[in-house]
Amino acid sequence: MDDEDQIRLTLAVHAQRLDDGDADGYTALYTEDGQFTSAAGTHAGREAIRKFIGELFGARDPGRSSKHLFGNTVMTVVGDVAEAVTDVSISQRAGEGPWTMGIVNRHFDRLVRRGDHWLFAEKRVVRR
Amino acid sequence: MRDEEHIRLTLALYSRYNDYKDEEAWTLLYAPDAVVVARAGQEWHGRSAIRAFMRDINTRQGDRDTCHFSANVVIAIDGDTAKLDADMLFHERATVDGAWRNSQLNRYTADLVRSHSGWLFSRWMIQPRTSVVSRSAELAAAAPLPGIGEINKTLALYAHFLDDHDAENWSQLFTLDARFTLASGEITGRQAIKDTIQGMWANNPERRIVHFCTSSVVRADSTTATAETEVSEYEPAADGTWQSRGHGRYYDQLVSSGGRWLIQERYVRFPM
Repeated sequence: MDDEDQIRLTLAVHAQRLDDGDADGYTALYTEDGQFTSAAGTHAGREAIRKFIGELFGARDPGRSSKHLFGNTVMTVVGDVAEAVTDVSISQRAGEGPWTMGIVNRHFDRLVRRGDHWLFAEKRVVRR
Repeated sequence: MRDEEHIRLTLALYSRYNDYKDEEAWTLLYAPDAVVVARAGQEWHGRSAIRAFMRDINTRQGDRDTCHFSANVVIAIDGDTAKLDADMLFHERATVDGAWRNSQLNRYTADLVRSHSGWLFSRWMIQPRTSVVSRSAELAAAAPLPGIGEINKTLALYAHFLDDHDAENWSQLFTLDARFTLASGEITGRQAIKDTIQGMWANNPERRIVHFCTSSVVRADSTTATAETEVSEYEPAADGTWQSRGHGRYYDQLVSSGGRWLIQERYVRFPM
């Protein structure tokens, strides 16, 4: 697979693990010193990201569902570093009610090559 | 970067520049003599007219915020020309503080030409998804894409043919001995799978659902592959917007066959 395929694989696995609430799998997609930044602040290092995302998943209301759609990725690869900008559309619903459009975010990612894989060195989530 | 990736980049930039309301950058995604055909059938020829068309839209729409979210991308490449068909879920809100809604679901039908190291649109048409003049069969028959491109194409064509109620071409995406598992049970064999889907459509022939497939986790060797694809279903609502019916995931095993990739097994987990 080309670099672009491998990067798309990382982005797609990230989308899966986010919706599946798989905190360990999610965190494993970051480098040891990776950074995650959102409106809730910056979390530096895999351990800090694991703690933050684990609490986020744990706080999910079982009576509410959400779904993240990832698309429109614009990526640039230079050697062992890549940048990707992706639109993220989030739908949600309460209980068995209808799904509604929630918010649209944009993810600004920097990824680095680690062997055959690409990991997030930095993810910045910006709400549109 | 493969040609297919360059073309995906052109499509993603189309959305990005459109949503940024950057008319100049957006116009440069078109060849100088390109043609744009809008939903109502109006045509704009050449970059100047295309730029003016976009400027007029942005002026009229003021503070409206948009997200042109594309998926189900099918690409066919022939030397220095290419074709691209994709579905686009159009999110919009009246102001940056307003609520988002899915106001349209459209089909992009685009032709592209190679330009230096990239690709530009030579013809761009947008149609409402429910009244599209499909050319999916033509794209399915085009030369196979290299790498995992052909796998992505099979996954997207599945949605195109399914939503067009094209049982013949849809069933050709499965191997003869394929297994297809839904919540209602397991079906084995291409013909039985085809019969089943036709039976489902016959129960409600007027109903139109769009299967909007976004991220796919694809792992492949030279002859076999697995894919896990996020799918969201949408249907028209009474107010003209598109309502999500739910979200699921396809779990696939695919095999290479004469340059194509066919679905040997699909397990549909819907809704999740």
